[in-house]
Amino acid sequence: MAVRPISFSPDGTISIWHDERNHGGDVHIDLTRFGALPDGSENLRWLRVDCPVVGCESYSYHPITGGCDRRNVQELFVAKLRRSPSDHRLPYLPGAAERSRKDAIQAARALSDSLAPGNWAIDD
Amino acid sequence: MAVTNAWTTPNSTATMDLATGATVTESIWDNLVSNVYYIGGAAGDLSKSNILVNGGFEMRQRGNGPWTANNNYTVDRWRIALGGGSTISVAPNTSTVDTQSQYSLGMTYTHSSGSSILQVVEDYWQWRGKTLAFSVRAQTTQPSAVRVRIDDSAANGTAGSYHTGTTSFETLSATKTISTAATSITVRVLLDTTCTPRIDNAMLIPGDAPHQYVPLHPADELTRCQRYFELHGGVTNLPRFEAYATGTELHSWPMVFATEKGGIPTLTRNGTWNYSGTSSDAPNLGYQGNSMLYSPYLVPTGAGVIMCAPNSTDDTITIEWNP
Repeated sequence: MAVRPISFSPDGTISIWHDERNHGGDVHIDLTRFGALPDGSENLRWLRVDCPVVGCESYSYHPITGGCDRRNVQELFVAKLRRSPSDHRLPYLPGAAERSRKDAIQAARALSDSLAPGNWAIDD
Repeated sequence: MAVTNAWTTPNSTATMDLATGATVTESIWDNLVSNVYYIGGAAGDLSKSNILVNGGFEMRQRGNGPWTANNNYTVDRWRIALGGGSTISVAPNTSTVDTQSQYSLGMTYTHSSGSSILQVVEDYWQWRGKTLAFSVRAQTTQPSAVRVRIDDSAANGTAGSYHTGTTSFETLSATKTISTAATSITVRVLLDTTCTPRIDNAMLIPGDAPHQYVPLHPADELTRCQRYFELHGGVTNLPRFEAYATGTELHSWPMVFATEKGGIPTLTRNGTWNYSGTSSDAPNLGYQGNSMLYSPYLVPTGAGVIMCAPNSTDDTITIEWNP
């Protein structure tokens, strides 16, 4: 499939599995990166996940709509948006308040305005 | 109009003459339909289309495995669902196959809790309220190990009978009436004890009885598979991205998918590509994309030639969307 998330921990750690290489490991959500727009600014509808295995150098870009694994990719975006408190461009600061899960899901849905009804796999 | 010696066997020399303007009564039509054959079928079977993609397990865009992890896709569209504590190794098999098949799907399975090989049906909404019949040809020497089932989001179906554990391929089947509110449909080949089965020629049709496997032309089957997954690269220098940069401005170009995807797919760059004049993670894929194409890009480190290309078979870009 891809370099994809398979489980999420409350501290921001994500278990990653790389299907094409049959290996995986853990990464922190803060190490994932948004994609790029033509002007070089962040494209919040794409999120890059690098394979944590040293030397692999593979990565996946997941669309906010879900891509290869709708439920887990949508959870990935929610986790990312929760860790971007007041402004998603700010780095996460220890002690800073996180967005609520509900607010993060609403933000993700707003970003994916082309998502067909019924395709959200996660609940508020 | 008269109907004499209605067809009863294939290649029969019996004839049915219909005069212009003749009326075909219901009894005549029933007699005709009940004696229509398709190749290798039984009386009353009219050929139907397979709802499943890659029902013959012939398409293998991800290669030849083996695949072992939970949720891993194996041959196109068929995925592992591994129960806790169970282990599995799945790979295409060419030595133990059903009639007129090139590949079956082989497994070495060690059981701890229930597992399956499954396919999710994309267009579940079209089958709401309908009865579906699922069949698979299976071979295993272990009795009470392998059977099949249809599930939807409302409830699991009733599993069919087990393979008897002979060395022969047997048809395993199950039916289910899909919930009128279903939001998913999944067909499963259930693994209930340690075994080394081979499965082949799966068919899912509307109806209450299993149907003999009807293969698609390979071109059509590949197109169906590529709606969900396709692979670019994997050949040295193909594709090769090359340009001349006058500065550090981003260089991008469109790559059109072989088949439009069902939604915006995940894009994965695998391996360590050859590159010059740009960064080591080239080509970058995070620019933009939709269900029809994506736009890889290179960011030059300065003026001059910029290039990246695969240098081995494991340097690929995979494109994947799943319902």
